[in-house]
Formats: sequence, C-alpha cells, structure tokens
Amino acid sequence: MSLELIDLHKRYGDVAALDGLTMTVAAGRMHGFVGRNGAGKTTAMRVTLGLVDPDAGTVRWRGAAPGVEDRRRFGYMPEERGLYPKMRLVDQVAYFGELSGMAGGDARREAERWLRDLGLGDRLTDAAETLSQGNQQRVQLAAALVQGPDLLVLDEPFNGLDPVGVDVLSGVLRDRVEAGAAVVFSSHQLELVERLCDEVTIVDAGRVVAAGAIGALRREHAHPVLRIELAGGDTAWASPPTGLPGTRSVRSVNGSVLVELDDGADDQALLDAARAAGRVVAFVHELPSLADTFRQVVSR
Amino acid sequence: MRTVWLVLKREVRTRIASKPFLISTVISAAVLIAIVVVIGATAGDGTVTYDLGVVGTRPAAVAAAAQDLAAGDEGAVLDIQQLDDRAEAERLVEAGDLDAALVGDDLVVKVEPDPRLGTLLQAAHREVALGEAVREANVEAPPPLAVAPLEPDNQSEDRGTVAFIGVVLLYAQILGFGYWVASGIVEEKASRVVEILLAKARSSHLLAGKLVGIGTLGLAQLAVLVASGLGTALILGQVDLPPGTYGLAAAVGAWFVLGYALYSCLFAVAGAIASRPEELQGTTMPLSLLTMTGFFAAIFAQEDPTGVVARVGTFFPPSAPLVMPIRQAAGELPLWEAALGVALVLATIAVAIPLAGRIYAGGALFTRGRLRLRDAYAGGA
Repeated sequence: MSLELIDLHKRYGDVAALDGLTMTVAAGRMHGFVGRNGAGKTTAMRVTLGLVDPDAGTVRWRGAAPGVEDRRRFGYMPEERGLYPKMRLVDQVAYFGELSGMAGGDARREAERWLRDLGLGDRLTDAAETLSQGNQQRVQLAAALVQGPDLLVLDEPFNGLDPVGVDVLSGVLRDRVEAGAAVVFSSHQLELVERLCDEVTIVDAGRVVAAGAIGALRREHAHPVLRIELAGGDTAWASPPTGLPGTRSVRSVNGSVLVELDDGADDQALLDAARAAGRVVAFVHELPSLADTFRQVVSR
Repeated sequence: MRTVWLVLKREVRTRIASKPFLISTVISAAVLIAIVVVIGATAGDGTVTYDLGVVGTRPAAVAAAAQDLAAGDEGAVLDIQQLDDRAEAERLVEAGDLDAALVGDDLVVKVEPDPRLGTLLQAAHREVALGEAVREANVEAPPPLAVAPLEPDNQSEDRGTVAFIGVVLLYAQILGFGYWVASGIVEEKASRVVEILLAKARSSHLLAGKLVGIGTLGLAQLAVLVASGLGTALILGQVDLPPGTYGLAAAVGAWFVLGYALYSCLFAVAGAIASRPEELQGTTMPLSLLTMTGFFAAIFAQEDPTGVVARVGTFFPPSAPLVMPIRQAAGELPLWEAALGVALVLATIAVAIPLAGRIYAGGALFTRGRLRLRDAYAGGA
C-alpha cells in the first residue's frame, strides 16, 4: 500500500506550517514534493517520521497508524544533514542500521555494501568530517538506505550535488522504486522532479494546491503555450504579437517566441499575425513545464 | 531496551578510545600517584635510623631491648652491629660510622649521645638490669599498665585525608562526566544527527543510553584512579592505609553513582537548551557553581564534621554526595542523617530523570539559538 497524510495541521506560534495538508505516496512510485521555502514540506516530512506531533490529522502507512517499529524502518534524510563528525563511515552507517532494527553483522555488511555502491569503498574507515560536502551527502544516503526501507522520505536530497552525484542518487532512487518502495523527496529543482518523478504534490502555505501525475498536472493547471519560430529568428518580428486578444504573456527564448494563451484564445489569429511578420518555420502547441505549472498554481 | 544498549555501546566505544578520555585518565592517575608518593615521603620524615655498635653479650641484650622499645615508637629504628672489641667501637664512633656503641656498662659516643637514642638506651639498660634483679629475687614482675582509652583511636584524621582525596576525585568525576553529557547532547544537535536518531528511537531511550554509557565510563575511570592510588600506597608501603579505607573507596564509588545520576540529568538539561557547543559555557555555569558549592561544603565539613554547614550540606541533595563521605570518614555521620540525606538525593533523582527526559525531548530538534527552559519543557510534552 502507501503512505497517506490526512488533513495535517501544525501551528508554530502565529504561523500555520501545515494547514490541512492531505497527500498520498504510492508504493512503487517516485513522488516529488515541491513548494516554496516555508510552504510546510519539512514539517510534513517530520510529522511522517514522528519527529513532530501534528496538532490535528493522521499519518497512515499501509492503512494503519505507523508504530515505532514501522517508523524506524523508514529511510529518512533530513534537510539538515546529520553525521557524527568523528565517527568512521562504516561504523556510523552500521549504527543507524542497528537502530533501525538490523542485527549487528547484517548492519555492518549492508553499510559496507551501500558505501561501496555509492563510491566510498576506499573511505570506509575515514571519519565523516574528512569528507567533502557531496561525499557526506552520499554517506547520508547510505544511512537512509542501509536497512532496505519500504518508504524513503528525503528532504532536499539533491541539494548541493554535482551532476555525477545527481545521476548516482537518481539511479539509486529508481532502483528502490522498481523494488516496490514508496519514495518521496522534496526539491526546488523542478526540471529534475519533472524528469524523475511519476507524481508530484505542490504545496503552498501548508496546504496542497495541486497533486497528481506530472503530465496531467502540466496539462490541467497551466495555460497552453504556443512556440512560434520565424525564419531569421525573433529579430524578424517587427513587433511581437502582444496586443492580440487571448495572449497572456509573450517572451523570446532562443530565437523563438513563446506565447502563453488564455483558455479559448484564437490561435489562428496568432498564426495570421506570424505569417504577416515573416516566414513561419515552427508553430507548435507546447506543454508548459512543471516550473510553469508551479508558478501558475502557487502565485495565486 | 535494545536501543538503550546500542546507544550505550556507541557512547562507550567512541569515547573510551578518544584522546580526551585517555589523556584525562593518565593525567589524573599520575596526579593521584604523585600525591600518594608525596604523602608517603613526608610521613617517613620523622623516622630516624641509628647505627649502634655492641661489644659483648649484655650490651647486645640491652640493644635488643632498645630495638623493641624503638619499634613501639615509630620514630626510630636501630641498626645494630656486633663488634669485636672496644678499640674497634671507638674507631668506628670516631669515624662517624656509628652513632654510638655499647661496651660493658659504657655508652661510647663522640661528644654526647643523641637525646632520643640516649633515652632509649638508658631505658633499655634499666629494663634489662631490673629484669635480672627480678629474676634473682625470684619475685613476680609487675604487669605492664593496662591502657584504658576514653575515645578509641580509629585514626580518623588519616581517614579524613583519604576521604578528602576521595571527594576531590568525586568532584572532578561528577563535573567532568556531567559536562561530557551536556557536550555529547549538544554535539548531536549541532551536527543534526539527532534528527535521524529521533526518527529511529524514543528520546527517553536515547537519553538513557547516553547517561548510562557515559556514567559507566566515569565509574570505570574512577575505579582505575582509586586502584592506582591504593596500589601505589600498597606497593611503596610508605603509607599505612587507615582502617576503613576500602570501605571509604566503596562509598566513593556509590556516591559517584548517586551524584552522577543527579548531576547528569541536570547537565542533560543544560545540553538540551543549548544549540551550539559555544553556548554550553553559559548553560552549564549554574551547575558548575552548584558542584563547587558542594565542594566547599565538603571542605567545611572536613574542618567541622558536625557544624551547620556539614549538616545543611548533608540534606542539600546537590552537595550531599561530596559532604557525606567526609562526615562518614570522621565518624560523625549519625545513621538517621545518612539515611535522610540519601533519601533526599534519591527523591531528587526521581524528579530529575523525567524532567531531563522531557526537556531533552523538547529541545532536541531545537537547533537555532538558545532555548528557554519553559519552552523546552512545553515542547517535550
């Protein structure tokens, strides 16, 4: 089954960090969790892990409230990375494994395996503080994965990773999803979320403003965009078609003009305007990006 | 329980091999051994060895009697040499190789005898002569006077010294390992490890494992220090351990357990309300003052074991662990006062443990700035 957060409320003083947040993360799916800073992502994750008690609302895992035993098997990577600076890598990953309920020998074996898989095989006995930021993040990931979790909750796991690190992490997360785990991670890198995730939940001010399969969301929530390209690039336009009815915004990108349309706008009038300006080489309806969708739903 | 054990094991493993622990153990043991050696050396100062020559059988008997007398008075030791004749005795005394020589009824000395040696030999001479006279007269010698002390000499002063060394150790151990608790907690907060830990274990289990783990190390280090101190005394043989020393050592161990149980909870609170190591100085300050107060009360109790400070210190839980061993060593701790004092400490521990657990839980995820106690308490509900 899956993870369900149902009508979560949490206030810190005057600030409502969670204001009726409800979302579902399905097993075998990669779930992106996006929202502006302070939208309540971290609080929702902390509630999931039992670190924060919500004022109201419930968390369900496989249909029931998760107990301590369930929760310690969850894989968690907090936003504020945490490692013991002076402890050896393999020792601390094994320690987290044991705390998750593994037997000592298994924990050590799995710790070594994950650290090797993540490219830290030659640093097993080094202290964490001697590692670069990116490598510490790999250790953090090993700590979240060592017990073979069925649910992975990762707060900004891609933050600060170089492109190779991003690929390694993406690969590991895909493997876990294919193995049937539910994976949810938060990120501000929306292109990455768009590329990796099956589903996404967008939160704003403690509540969900859009959720679902990414493709459907992009169609549903953002206005359609027309990409018009003239021979000779955007300088061929005498004046961009800003004044036409039904156009919300017009911008130039890489020689093309992107026109965001109102629902029901007359695209044929635009085509006429383009033909009047020059030779049309491309006239394409484009699906807006997740970033466009995001701007659309949170800026209200 | 497995979680507590895992946490405990990690605390012991990572700390026992750490430089601060090894260095503090070695330095403390070295200081303690040095103290024992110095006490031994100064205690041996009063002992004087006299070189005494004897010619003939009667002088030998007198010398032997003098040796017995000297053994009773710990200050003097006689080193007796059997000589051939008076000429040899005079030559050796003249050369300074002997302090004196007994030849017949003469005491051969350079100018005049050392007063202590002279008194000893005169008394021995009288005793031997009297013994002979008594035997010849065939009467019974009077028995020696029986000593009837009004107060038993239980060497309470020496025991006081031992107890004071014990209290200095206690003070250092409680303060040192209490501070380790606070810094251990704040390290986990500063490195944010605590967020992962709390996702995997109850805060009460994390705290229990940490307190017991560090306390076990503290007790083990204390045992090593006490053993090295007592061992040095025994090996050198310079210091006679007063009666009750081993009991006192055991009491110091027991008081460490109680004192640490109390203070470690308070230090845990100090760690929980700080978010960075630099803030510990401030949050642990009241506790440093509290232990110091206990230490000064112990010094007062040493001077006057039945005084007001000693009594108040016995019933004030933060100072009781330091004051009570002193009064116990002085033999001035009535049973009811001891029982009440211990009961008060236990009661305070019973309150401190859940309080520390709650504030720890409330402060654990608070990693920015210094937390107000009240907020931490509310947050730990």
